[in-house]
Amino acid sequence: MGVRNLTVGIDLGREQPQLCYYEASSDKTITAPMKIGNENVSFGEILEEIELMNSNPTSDLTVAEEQNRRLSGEIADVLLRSMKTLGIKEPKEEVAGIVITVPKLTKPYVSLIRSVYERVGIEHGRGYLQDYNESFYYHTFYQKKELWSRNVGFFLFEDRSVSFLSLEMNQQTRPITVKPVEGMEITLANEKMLWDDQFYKMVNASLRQNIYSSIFLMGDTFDKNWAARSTALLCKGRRKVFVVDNVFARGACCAAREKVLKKQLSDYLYLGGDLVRENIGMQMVVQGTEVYYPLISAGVNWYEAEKTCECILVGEPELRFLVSGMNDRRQRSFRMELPQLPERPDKTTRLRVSISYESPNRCLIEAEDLGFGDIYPASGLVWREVMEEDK
Amino acid sequence: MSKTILCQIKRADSPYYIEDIDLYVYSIEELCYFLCNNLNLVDVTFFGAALLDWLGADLQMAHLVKTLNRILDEEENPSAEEMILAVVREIRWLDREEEKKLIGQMETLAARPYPVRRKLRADALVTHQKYTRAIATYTGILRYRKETAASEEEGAAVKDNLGEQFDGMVWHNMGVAYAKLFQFDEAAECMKRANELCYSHTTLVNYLFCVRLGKGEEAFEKLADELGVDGQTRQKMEAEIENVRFPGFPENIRETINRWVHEYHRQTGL
Repeated sequence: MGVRNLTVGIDLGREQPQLCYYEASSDKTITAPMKIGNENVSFGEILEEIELMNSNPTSDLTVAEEQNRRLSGEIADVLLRSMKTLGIKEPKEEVAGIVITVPKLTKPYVSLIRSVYERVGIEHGRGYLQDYNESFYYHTFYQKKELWSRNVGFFLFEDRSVSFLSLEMNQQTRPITVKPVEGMEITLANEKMLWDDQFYKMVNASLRQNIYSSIFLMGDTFDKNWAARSTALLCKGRRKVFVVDNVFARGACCAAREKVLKKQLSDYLYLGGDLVRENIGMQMVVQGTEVYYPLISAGVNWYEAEKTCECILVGEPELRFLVSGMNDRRQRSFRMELPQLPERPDKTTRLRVSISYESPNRCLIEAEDLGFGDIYPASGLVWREVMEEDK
Repeated sequence: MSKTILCQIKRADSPYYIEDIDLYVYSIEELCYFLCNNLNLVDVTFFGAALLDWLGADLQMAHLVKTLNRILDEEENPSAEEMILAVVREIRWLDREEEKKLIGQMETLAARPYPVRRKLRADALVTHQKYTRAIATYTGILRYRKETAASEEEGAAVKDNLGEQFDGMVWHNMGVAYAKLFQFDEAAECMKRANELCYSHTTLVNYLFCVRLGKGEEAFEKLADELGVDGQTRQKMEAEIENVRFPGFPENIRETINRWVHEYHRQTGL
């Protein structure tokens, strides 16, 4: 099988999951519902189980790992077979990058998707994940620029519930920042005849006097036959309005293109709710000079913010981290004590320091005593600390 | 207040074995630490092909290997000091003050006569319980001293101004190494020579102890009479012997014997 350089986006959250792929050689993007042969697939039960894990997290790591192993195995199997149906027989060889998108990213989702990638043979650096809001950002910014030169609105219909999301740009900053702003949500009435009026009011309240370059609508419930008045309002002032069905899968596919093929949005920074908003670093001696050594840079998604390094400790049994906000230069210091660390001469304690995130504002720090080879064997001690974002 | 030094070079999966003291090192930092703290044990032969291979293949430090090879190839008499500095400077293991101190220590060591440097090496081996290696080194020193003494008489060698006292100390320390191996006859012979060359209280007492442990109480008493050991010294020695406590039987004989066997192999290299 030749290298096809495919980038793939998968929307797992729909009743019928969608897969969108882009083939660089033909410059074509194709979206299709995920199927195995002619049979539709659904991850409904799996997603319900994940939702349960989100609402009742288990403290038993073995149970969580077993659940993750089982669910990821099921998804990976379906994924491989449905990709085969679409002609992607060897994802490991043919796929340059893949992004899976879900409504909201939580720790169980992140672990699950990572395990799925592992099982499919997609290594770190080719497999990514993001939430729906970010997929909408990529979907929009991969359209013609005239469609997003100002704000962009998005109405999502899920059965009778309607939500609004807009993308607001700040052109004053470099890079230009793009912020998703979640707006009002309504539930359409039982009587269909009331829907147009309800939705008209929602559109009016959501768009207000702001200038929108384009509006996207998605969801089976929307139909312009019942929405004559609201459709007219949406199109007012030559606003471009699109009814689409693949915002998230296509957005995920565009994100994969951006991450692995070409960086066409390097002048823009997406400021989603999953972003880590603090820089974390340490004062370290690097090649004989004491410098600020960055560990985590603000502006990355919490589930991608990871760093591990090894260092030699001199002096007190403690680690000091320097934390600064995304926009201010004010620095605070965070001290992590290492109690019971065996007493050894200076420069004979090697530590492995790992940083990861549990949510955008909850950082987990782990330090492990590696000793100093056979000269001072490792004690096996591990220290863990939680650092909350300074609000 | 603490300070952290970033480790930029990954630890090796396979360690480098420092045979002299039976030590495995896994990282460039461990190697630097060993070099800076064991100057007496490091000469230019330490930087052999095996070490250079390990630095290049396991630690991926091609630049350092290139530097060390350059020193070895380009210089007529490459020095261990230069090689040590090349290693510690590669990762800036020492700050300016520490490096200055290290250079001072290396200069002091280099300025010492060859037999003294060898003795310091042998003493360090005793400290690391590598007794057989230490004995071989002490023997080498004495042979060298004998050969150079002959050359000096013929005017072929420069005098190192080391007297019999130095030889006595070498014999004494070799005796200690033999005693640590429970070879008390050899130890007593060394102590005897030490006592003849630098008659001191310590050499005398250690000589007598070795005879006592090797040949028994009668031989000890006889020798003490022959050497005219005074009553007070004898009393002190008796008290010291009486104070030696019987260690008792180990709880786990098999484990203890295995440990002793392992230690013996380590100490003798057999």
